[in-house]
Amino acid sequence: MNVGLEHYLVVSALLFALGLLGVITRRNLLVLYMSLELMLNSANLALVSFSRFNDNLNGQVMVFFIITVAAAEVAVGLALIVALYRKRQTAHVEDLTSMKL
Amino acid sequence: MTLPFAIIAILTIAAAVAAMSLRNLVHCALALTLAFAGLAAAFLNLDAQFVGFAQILVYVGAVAILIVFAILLTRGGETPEKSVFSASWAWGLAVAVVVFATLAWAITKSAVVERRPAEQVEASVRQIGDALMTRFVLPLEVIGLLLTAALMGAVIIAMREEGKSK
Amino acid sequence: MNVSYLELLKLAAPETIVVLTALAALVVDLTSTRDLEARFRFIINGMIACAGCVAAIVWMLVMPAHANALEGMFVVDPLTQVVKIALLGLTLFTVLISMDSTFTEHIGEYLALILLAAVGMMFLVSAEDILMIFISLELTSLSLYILAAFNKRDVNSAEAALKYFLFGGMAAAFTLFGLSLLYGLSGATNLGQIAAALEDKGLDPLLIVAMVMIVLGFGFKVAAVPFHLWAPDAYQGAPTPSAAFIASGSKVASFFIFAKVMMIGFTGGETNGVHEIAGSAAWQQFVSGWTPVVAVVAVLSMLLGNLVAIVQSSVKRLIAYSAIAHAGYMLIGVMAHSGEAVASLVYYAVTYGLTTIGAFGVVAVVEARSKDDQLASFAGLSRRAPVVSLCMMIFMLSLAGIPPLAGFFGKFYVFAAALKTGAPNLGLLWLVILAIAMSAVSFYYYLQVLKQIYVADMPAGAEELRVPVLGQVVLGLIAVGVILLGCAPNLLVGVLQASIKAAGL
Repeated sequence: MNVGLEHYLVVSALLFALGLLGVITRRNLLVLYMSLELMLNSANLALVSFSRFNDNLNGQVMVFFIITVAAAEVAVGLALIVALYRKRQTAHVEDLTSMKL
Repeated sequence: MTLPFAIIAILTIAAAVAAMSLRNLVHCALALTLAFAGLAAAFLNLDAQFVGFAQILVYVGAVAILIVFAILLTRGGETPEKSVFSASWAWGLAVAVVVFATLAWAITKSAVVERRPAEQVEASVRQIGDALMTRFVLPLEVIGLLLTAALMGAVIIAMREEGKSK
Repeated sequence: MNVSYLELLKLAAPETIVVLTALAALVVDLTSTRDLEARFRFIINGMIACAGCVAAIVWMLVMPAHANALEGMFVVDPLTQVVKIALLGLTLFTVLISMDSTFTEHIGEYLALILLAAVGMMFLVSAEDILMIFISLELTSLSLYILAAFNKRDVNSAEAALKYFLFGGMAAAFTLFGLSLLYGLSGATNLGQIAAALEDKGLDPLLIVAMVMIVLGFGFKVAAVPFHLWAPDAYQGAPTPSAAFIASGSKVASFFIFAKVMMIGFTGGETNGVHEIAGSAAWQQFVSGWTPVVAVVAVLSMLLGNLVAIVQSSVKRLIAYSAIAHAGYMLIGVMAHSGEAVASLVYYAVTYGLTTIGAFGVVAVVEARSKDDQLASFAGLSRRAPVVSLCMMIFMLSLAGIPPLAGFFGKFYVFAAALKTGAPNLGLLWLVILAIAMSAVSFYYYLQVLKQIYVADMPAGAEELRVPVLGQVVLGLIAVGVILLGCAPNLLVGVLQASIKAAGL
């Protein structure tokens, strides 16, 4: 059996779904945050494999940019979590209820 | 190239599952780092050396360390006594399964999967560098602005406000 | 490919001017005005920021350009110029209404971030490439997350920003996955090339997935149901000027790029007068595609936004839920996907943005004196601050869609464009009827605010509100703008239609 595009894409879809699962079900903000990163990474895998199978470089260049954006997001996201922890001494989703949904 | 792919795929997915399900935050972070590394290996397996190494440098290097720092700063290292999953976990599981099933169905039914890879792609760092300085030069500039804004903001947000100085 | 960096710099001069202004405000604040009183710092640096915005606007008026640089990375045409000028105008008013605020010591950084968010929006408006769209969207969003967290004394601000960030991050992941599938299907990153590559392929299952994911992502940006959960909290918790910017500028830019992506990237071939990829949401003749998806989102937004707004006691949350409803009306304009619809959509979004900034400005004035934004704090405002109350009345009536204010014509044009698209059998009539019915409902809660201001008794011991002259002038200017755009809608619509023709959309 040869490894084709569909195999990479299924792995990428699985990672995306796992990330989504984490975002919805986990209670800790940091884990939620890690799940978001996993979702972004699954898109990267899809891009790199498309780039290989479409035979052009654009996908890889996009991944380079997305890695940078994700790094910036990490900085902001973790700063927000740390700032909230200072005020509230908590990193749990349920404790974010001072404003009702 | 079946065997390397199988190893990488299983390793990455197992690490991702672990990151989503472990109780201890530090373990989660380490599992996530492993998943990032697995993805880097997948990139290399796809002949994408540049982004493969960028992935290792940025994710395995910087992002993982930042996350561990944040865990320490918020004292998340201790294992929580209560459940780590929220009450709506069954609902979340259902959503994730539906999303994955839809994606998998679409992928297998799509016409894209007929494509075969080109024999030899020369994705050298030079080509990527050329692309970054020509067609992608504007996104490169905007990324610079984005990093400026993000870092400036992160410092302001995380900074301790020293009373009501000045 | 040969790139002339100098040409590029000339094309992107307005953006460059705004970036330099942001840096200037930062440097001036850090070096020379640090020791002054906060109010003066805000005025000096705010004036620098305003000067930058005005300079960029003047540049665009004086140097009209029409070019497509780097294969769609940066497209400048009359239409994008008009939208950018409008965005800079909204930025200007945001800066002006924040000059009176006291929530932060980091004034230079605050203004710099507002300007950087504006630059992100400007690049977004000019982008016709999925990578550029993603990056400028992220530049805007990241700056706005930070702006929402700027009030460090208030825990609600940090919480609002975190919620905004988590929802935004998830939306970005969805958009990105959708865009990556789009790249995979077409092998291109340019919207036009993507459309050409997808032209005769029909509806690939992965294309449907990509479409749904992109609609989800943009649905979040414009705060449409079911991705609206962040909006009420972000509007209420964030510092009021930041909330005003999130509600106005970000919305205009997002709606514009949403319509552009859908119109350029997802039209597909035509069969029987129906675009293959767009499908149709006409009554009893749905054709699968992206318009039915958007139709569902629009209906939910109009219903939920208007009905939940009725029970709100916080004015900021009320504006947030009404914003969700307005997003529903504007989505009807996206669905119509014609040149005329884009003109009406931009008109709606710009006038809505202007009105919302004004409304937030009034809330900021009241909030600064009574420390909260509850409806009860507005009781008897007409006797405590007559000018501000009059402005609020104009904003609320415009949001409700009373002629001859701008809000009425926005709705009118969007609905007319939708009806024309559905011609000859008026396919989208059901949506328009629902929208009109829901606007009638919205009267109720806008009048609630006015009732508090004009009819309710003043709380005992309340004295006259001291509103700074500058604040009154700014609010008055916005109100005059709302009336002017309403009485002479052709001022903007005419320009928009001409520029759309010139842009060839």
